[in-house]
Amino acid sequence: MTEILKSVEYFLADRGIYMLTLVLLAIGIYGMIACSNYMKKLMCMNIMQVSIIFFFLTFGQKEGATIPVLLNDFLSADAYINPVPHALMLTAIVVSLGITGVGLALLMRIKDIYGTIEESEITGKGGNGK
Amino acid sequence: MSLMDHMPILVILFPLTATLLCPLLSHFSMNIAKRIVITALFISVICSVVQLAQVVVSGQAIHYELGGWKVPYGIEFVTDGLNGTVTLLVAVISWTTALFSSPFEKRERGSNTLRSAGYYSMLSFLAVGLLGMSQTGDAFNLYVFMEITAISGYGLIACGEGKGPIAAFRYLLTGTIGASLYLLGVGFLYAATGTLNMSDLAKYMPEVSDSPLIIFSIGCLIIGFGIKMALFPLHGWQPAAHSYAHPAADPMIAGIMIKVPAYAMLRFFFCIFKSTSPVMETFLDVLGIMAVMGVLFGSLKALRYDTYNKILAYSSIGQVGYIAMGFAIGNMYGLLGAVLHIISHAFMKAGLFYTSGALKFRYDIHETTQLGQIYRQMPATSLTMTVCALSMIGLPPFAGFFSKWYLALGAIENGQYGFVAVLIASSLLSAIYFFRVLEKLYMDKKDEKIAENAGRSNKKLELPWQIIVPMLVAVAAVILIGLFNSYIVGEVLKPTMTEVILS
Amino acid sequence: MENKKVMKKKTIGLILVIIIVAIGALRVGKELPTIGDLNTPANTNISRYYISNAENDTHAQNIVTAVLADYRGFDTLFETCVLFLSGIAAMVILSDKKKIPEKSREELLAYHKDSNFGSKLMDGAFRIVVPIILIYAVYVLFHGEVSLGGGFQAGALIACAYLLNRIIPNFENAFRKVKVEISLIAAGIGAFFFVLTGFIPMLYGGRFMEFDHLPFHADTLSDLHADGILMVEIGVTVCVAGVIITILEVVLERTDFDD
Repeated sequence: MTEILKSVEYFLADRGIYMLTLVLLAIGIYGMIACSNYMKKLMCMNIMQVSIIFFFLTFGQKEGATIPVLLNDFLSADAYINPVPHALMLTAIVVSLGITGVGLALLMRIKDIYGTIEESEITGKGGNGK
Repeated sequence: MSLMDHMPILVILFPLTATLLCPLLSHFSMNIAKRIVITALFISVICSVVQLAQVVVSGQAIHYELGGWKVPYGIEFVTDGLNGTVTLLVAVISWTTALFSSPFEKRERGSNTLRSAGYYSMLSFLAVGLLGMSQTGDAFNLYVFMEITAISGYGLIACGEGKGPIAAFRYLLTGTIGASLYLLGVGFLYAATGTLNMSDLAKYMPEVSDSPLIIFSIGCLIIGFGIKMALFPLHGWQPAAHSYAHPAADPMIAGIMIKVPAYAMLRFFFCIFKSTSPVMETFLDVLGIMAVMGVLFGSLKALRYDTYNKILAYSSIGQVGYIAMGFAIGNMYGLLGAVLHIISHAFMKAGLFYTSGALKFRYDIHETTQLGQIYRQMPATSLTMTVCALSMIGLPPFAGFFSKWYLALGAIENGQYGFVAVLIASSLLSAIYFFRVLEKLYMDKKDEKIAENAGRSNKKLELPWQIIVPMLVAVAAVILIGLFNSYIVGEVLKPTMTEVILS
Repeated sequence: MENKKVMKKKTIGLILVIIIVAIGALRVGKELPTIGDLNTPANTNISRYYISNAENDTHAQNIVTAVLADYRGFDTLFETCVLFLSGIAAMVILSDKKKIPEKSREELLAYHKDSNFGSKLMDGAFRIVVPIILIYAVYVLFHGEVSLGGGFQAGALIACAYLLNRIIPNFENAFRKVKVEISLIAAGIGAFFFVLTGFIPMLYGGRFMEFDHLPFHADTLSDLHADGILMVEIGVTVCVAGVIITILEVVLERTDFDD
């Protein structure tokens, strides 16, 4: 029994974060499909983007390493975590901010035209765009 | 380094500068800002012609390392025959669409010049994003350009009247899922190989090709690119978005915005993953099934509608299915057919959307039932509609025939006669709905309200010259690609393809 | 409100999705590299070069800034453009919605007479806090190379100071609003400055964004790279601050707070 628990613990320490990240991604995509309020869909989109950012960042971890800023003298190359995912994810965060800004502006416009942001009511008013 | 060496970056630099300075210039004069954007796009057309000539003459790809850092520590732009043609296509259609928007913008300007500046800025950003996407050699850089394309698409679709904002919001949600799945695919590739440069990835592929990470990566990439390409069954955003976009930006959105992700898919699947044979076979089969269903779905759905834009939007789903079919066939002729179809369909669809915009501009016509006898007042529009429609059906000597011919040759060579049957069936179906439109154009009775408006106008030309020139450019391109297709395929595309797919 | 049947279907769907994804993630998870391993391809391929050579090449002690602004600076240029584009898109999308008419000073005074928000305490605190935030923003901008910081963070801080000004209704010495046109033009000029930093080396025999060929006086090549990174960060700061202020103004001009 303790062996099973130990192996589960090792698994979670080694790779468990990937699992949680992918579950978060699935929750985000499911929320975008199942929620009927457009604002909730937008928030689930943000959850999905954040989960991908976490997924990338976990590649950069190294055991016993510190942040990639050379405060004192240069130690070995293994003493600093991988800077590439951090740089890439800064770009991804800014892109997600831009998309959220455009999405909120669109929501304001939709509320202006249709008076509501519930999908069922908009479809009822003939706005499903088909 | 001389000017000639900088061509890959100059193609992007001119439209980028014009778009960043557009709000500043519009503060002084909107006409000057507009003309600078159109000139910048024209210069980018010239640069892409020079670049393509360099590639064809020297026979080698151009590698441009940005920042001076050697590959794989920096980002590079790679231009070979395939790239150069797609870049030229994007540049030409961007320039003609910017020219085409000019009368629309003048009519809508009112007192709000900032909105017009924003429209031109977004159009130019769409051009920058597509040009960058077709030239880059780095997987993460492709993601950034894809997002530039997508956000400018959301903005331009939301400018349309009626159901524009709803269509744009739905596209925003779906498009972000697609881009995030693409990023996930790149993440898996980075985890497996540790590099982001495309040629470097191709070098590392044989070692890691049997790892399940690559399988997941290919799956995520198919879904990501499929959403951006509007491949069946991931096409849900497309009909509304293409029907309700702003009529002056629609030719670019419907013509090239869904084609460049298809080119990117070709790059990933056949240049990077080429050595993973058993896995790719399965995925190409899945792609083939999606393509066949898309072709049939698009052609059948287009029969139901009478609104001109909707017919064109649903037929696009079918045409993207042809391109995916070309990928699924997988041999030399199949890929050549797919690439030729990317080029020819972009011009055909852009031409048809130019006529749709022209009809809306002059007479506010949305339905095909209102088209009766309009060829008397609008001869150039009718000529464009006829040529492009005949080319979409696939009649020689127009461009549409040759791409379908190469696809059929490729399918016969592989023994996949099902694809040939689908090609013929869908050509017959598109003949039905396009001939219906042409019949309404030439043989229907006149619509009274339109006839009244026609009598009142006393202009000599049916439309401003900025609307007629793009239509004639599209007609000329369709005819020339058809006549010179052997040169294009033989001299420009085939040498690149033989390097690209060795198997 | 949805009825119970739809809610039940959705809950069952969610549980099914989580179970399927958990199983799939377990399958995927076995293949992914161990977290914290020092020898995965991701940690050894190109990142070793960046870590070892960042200070020699670019005179920057913050390796993430060196990767972001120098090695992969082209990505950063288009990321800034994405932000600028979203500012323009937000402005164009909302340009059809009517603006709320501005209240005059008497109306504002009457409106805020009974509320506690905007009291003298807030007014005084605001006047102390905003200059500190602005100085901190400049500090973060210039220290992006040697410690944590950079252009994006500095731009966000400047926009934060402006946001404080807009939220706290200090109508007695009213700070002027920034017009949407001005902030959008400023953002465009910031991004253009970034493009210019990349374009200048092309005139002196280098490629786009090759900071070795910048025409400044410097002792070593890495100093030139440090100059280039600083110019890049300044451009990014101006653009980010401008875009966030634009989106804020575009939304606030058209929102009626019922309080």
